[in-house]
Amino acid sequence: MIPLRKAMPRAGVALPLAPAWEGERVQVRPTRLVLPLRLTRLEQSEAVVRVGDKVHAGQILSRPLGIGARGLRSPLGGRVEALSVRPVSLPSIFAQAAGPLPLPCVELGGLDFSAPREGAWRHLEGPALRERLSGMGLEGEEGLPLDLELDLLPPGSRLVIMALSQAPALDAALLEVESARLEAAVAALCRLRDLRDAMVLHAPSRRESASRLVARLSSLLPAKAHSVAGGHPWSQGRLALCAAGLPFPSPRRTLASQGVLVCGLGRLLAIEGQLSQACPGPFPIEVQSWRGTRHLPEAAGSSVLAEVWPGTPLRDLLTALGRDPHHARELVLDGHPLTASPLLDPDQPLLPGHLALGFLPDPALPSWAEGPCISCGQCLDICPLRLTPVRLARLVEEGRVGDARRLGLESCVDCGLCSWICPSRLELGHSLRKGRHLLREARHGA
Amino acid sequence: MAPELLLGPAPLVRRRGRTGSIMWRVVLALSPVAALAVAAYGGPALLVLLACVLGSLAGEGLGGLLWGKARFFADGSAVLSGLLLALTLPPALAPGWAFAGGMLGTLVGRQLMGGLGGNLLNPALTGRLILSLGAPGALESAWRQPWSWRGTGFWEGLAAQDPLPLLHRTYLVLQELLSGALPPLPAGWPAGERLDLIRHAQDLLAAAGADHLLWPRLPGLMGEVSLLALLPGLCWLFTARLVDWRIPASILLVLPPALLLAAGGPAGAWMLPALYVKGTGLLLLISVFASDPVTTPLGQLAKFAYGLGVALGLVALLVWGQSSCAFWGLALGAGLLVPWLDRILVPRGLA
Repeated sequence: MIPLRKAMPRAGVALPLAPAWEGERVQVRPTRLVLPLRLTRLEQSEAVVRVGDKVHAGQILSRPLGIGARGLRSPLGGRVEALSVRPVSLPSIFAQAAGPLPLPCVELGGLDFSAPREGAWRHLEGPALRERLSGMGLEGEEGLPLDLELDLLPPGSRLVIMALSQAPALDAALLEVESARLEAAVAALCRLRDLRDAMVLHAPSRRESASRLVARLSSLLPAKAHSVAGGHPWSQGRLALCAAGLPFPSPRRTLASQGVLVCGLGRLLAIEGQLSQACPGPFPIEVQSWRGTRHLPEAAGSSVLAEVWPGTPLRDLLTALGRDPHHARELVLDGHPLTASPLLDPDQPLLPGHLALGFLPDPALPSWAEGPCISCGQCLDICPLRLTPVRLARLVEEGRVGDARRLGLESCVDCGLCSWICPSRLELGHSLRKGRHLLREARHGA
Repeated sequence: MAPELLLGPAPLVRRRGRTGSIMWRVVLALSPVAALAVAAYGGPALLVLLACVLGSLAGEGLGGLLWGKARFFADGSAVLSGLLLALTLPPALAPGWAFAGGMLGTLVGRQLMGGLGGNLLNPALTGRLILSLGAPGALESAWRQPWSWRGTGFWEGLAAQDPLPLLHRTYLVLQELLSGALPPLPAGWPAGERLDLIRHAQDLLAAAGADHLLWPRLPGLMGEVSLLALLPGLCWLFTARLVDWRIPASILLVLPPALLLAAGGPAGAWMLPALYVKGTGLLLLISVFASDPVTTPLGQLAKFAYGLGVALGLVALLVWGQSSCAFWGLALGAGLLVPWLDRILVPRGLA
């Protein structure tokens, strides 16, 4: 058992960065994307697109619900083919313990690889936009989620940067220190939303910094940027609205729908963070084949690095690797055989977090019916944390997770060795995972 | 056609070897002992062996019928219980009793307690206890003199019986003889042998000597026939980690010094030949019965504590006990303390 432990690296180890990869590479071009609207148990979002909508790379597909949630952006341009609820195995240990979860998904087809994230930002305008907002219950809403606000911007919008509006000292520092990120945010907005021009409202004392920013923005925008020195923040706000030709006061949503994005420096930095992180691109998955028996698998040959787009169905990856998804005699694992769960659905979307896929030979899958525990103690001997897996599992199954916690349940590192060695084929690791999950839920509930 | 996939959580690989293979390997490890017992004691021993195994299988099936418990014919647990029971019995027991012992032992010791894994008591030892209580006469009359190419020496002409109490009584006689008192004649002793007591005692010592550990020269239980037949199987079980080393190790660490201390008194003077006589059986008891995973503690510390208790019990029985049954009763009774030991000596890991 010791040599095996050495020979079996844990699943989920960080992959080397793609440039350092010296082995074979495969680029997967999916036929469609299946994008779940939830990436964690607590994170939920609501679709803001409809079937038949044409979307562009980076377009917001859903708006977040609740604190900490993120909206979903489209990795590629395409058309919304379906809004479905399908079982998805999320790439997290706790999600694996729960098995595939039925999640709302946006399914995109007719994917456009020609200019990902470079296409013009097109979306609803005028009556269609109002109808959509009304349907979403957002009519008259004053504060909009940042994603939706960006989503509402029509092409050719104007950007009004309210520097030094509410916190002069902070904004001054941001202008000096974060100018590169501010420029990146503006550049991303230009690329995604066809910004026409920008205006920087600033305090007279920050004229020099504002001038530098305006000069940089002018090189990014089709039209020249302007700067306006103002006095009191309130007057700056009024000035921004007047500059946009809008009556005062006006809800931010109205501004956005009219093509004016008004934001302070902090909000602009948030936009930059969101655009750079939430607009997903291809990610690497290490694909490894396993040979030998199911009792002692070992890696076969070198691994392949597959670059897949988020939401790529598993079948597309299998096809790209030359494997027939309909007649596979292998089990596709999300990770290492010792810790991974099988991906059973060929339409299972591959998502960032799916770090490694394994193909396990499937000559004759045995039915692993559980037998009674014979108290052999082998799970105790092999546990690297010297826990008592069988007793912990028993407590968890009896609902006594508190007692299991006192015996070290939370120390379990989920190595799976207890299940691996159990001669009665008890799913000890699974029970321990479930116990930790229950503890976590209880903590959240508390 | 969609591939048939296994639904189940990780890990998707398992180590080779299941409960059944463990049972069958233990059966295989002990089969040389059973074979040698049949060779030494002949047909009656074979009948006892078969009757025990069949009785145990019948108990397994009957338990399934009565209580709806799962039956594990294929996993070898019932066969192993039958074999173990046979090794604790004298070789000429009536097959009917052996069958009853196997069946009742499995029925009461395992199936009534929840089936395999849920039993507090070892089914084989439970069957042994039931026979000891229900048919003591049948057990007393079931001793046989083993076949030996060297002859039986002192035992020739004696009714076969449990050698342990005889050995004990012989030592008492010798002590009294040396002190000048006229000793009483032990029961079953041949007439006219009164003046040759010392010679008989010498013969007994010789028969209970080291060579008895390799081939039986004294009447014994089926599991006590030969250390030579037992050791290779035990070594295999230990190296394959089918038997945990902690309990036998703790017993063997405690037993010699405790015996030395106890042997300091006059009552302990007969223990060395007693160990010769019962050495093989004791090793079987320590390594197999007292290490039965189901009826021993789970935690490592609890296992050491359990081994310590069994060792002290064995010393007490060797010093003061005069019956082979007592050893098996000790292993059976120790199982009742297991839940308590598991509760107070809970391993908490490195957390």
